[in-house]
Amino acid sequence: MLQLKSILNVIDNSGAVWAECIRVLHGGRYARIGDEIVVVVSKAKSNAVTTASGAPKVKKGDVRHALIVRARKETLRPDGRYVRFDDNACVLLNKQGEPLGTRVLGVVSGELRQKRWMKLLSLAPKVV
Amino acid sequence: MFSFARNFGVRLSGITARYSSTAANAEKTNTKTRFVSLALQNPTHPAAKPTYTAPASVSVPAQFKVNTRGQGLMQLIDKEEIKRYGADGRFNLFNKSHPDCLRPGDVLVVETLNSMSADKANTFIGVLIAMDRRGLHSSFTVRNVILKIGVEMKYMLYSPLIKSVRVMKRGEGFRRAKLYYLRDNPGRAFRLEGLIKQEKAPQTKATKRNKA
Repeated sequence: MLQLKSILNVIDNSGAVWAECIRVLHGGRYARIGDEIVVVVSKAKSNAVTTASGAPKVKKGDVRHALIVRARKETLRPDGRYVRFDDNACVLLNKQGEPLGTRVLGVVSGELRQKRWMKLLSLAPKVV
Repeated sequence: MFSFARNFGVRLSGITARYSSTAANAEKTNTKTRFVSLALQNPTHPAAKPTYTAPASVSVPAQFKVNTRGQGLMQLIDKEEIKRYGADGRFNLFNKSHPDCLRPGDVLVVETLNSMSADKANTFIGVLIAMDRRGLHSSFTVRNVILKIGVEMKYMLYSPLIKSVRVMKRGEGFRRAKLYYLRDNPGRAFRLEGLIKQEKAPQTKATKRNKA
């Protein structure tokens, strides 16, 4: 249940560390796992200019699209199971809707499978 | 599903009896109209037998005590469904008088199917931190720390998609029913790498034996 002003951890290698939600793209108030949101990067890593793969590095203050991959609010699965993570995390996306970074660092929710984010699932080290 | 017809038959036959007596015995105006059970008088009367037969897909309980006011109906449905879905012994996981009962702090391995027709099972290993007893909707919450992020899964005990629940290690020293304090003070509760290796090791040994 992430909304305007929610701060999320960014768990890819795009360079951003924290991102603040400024818009929920499907138009509602709350965003859940698997929803796209617009974020402002509120904290970024200050090392190399570009990442090793040549992907553009994000700086503090950049406005990007992001995909929520973990949420503290418990998510209902179709068989009645609930999953809850200890933090809210997202992955930055480019304008085409593809992941901006090349690696995902950390657990990712299996909800993405239903929403067809196969590329992210293959990048993730662990899917729960 | 419910054989109300048995009771209704008595009343219906009483109603028909009233009208039949007034129609047939028009001269006897002295006869009082009251409920006379035709079913009792005439056992072969159609209203005497329960006329409703449940379709094959519906399971009618063997010993069903009819209660026309509907009291205790949800409790009865709960019990019947628990008997049906708990046939594989998962009822014992929540049964305190059974040795297999789960206790908060146990390290569990929960295998879940993705769908009713799937063969592959997803495995989740973690510490049981909460058991909620709600009849058919009983659930338990399992917590683990995966890649430094705490993950909690709440499973419905009687879900047919749960393939198996096994206890890898009994919890010791947990003196609460709900171990929510482990979210802030985990201590050593989530050091499960050794157990996870033990879990995977026999499988790999078995496959090696099969191959050789």
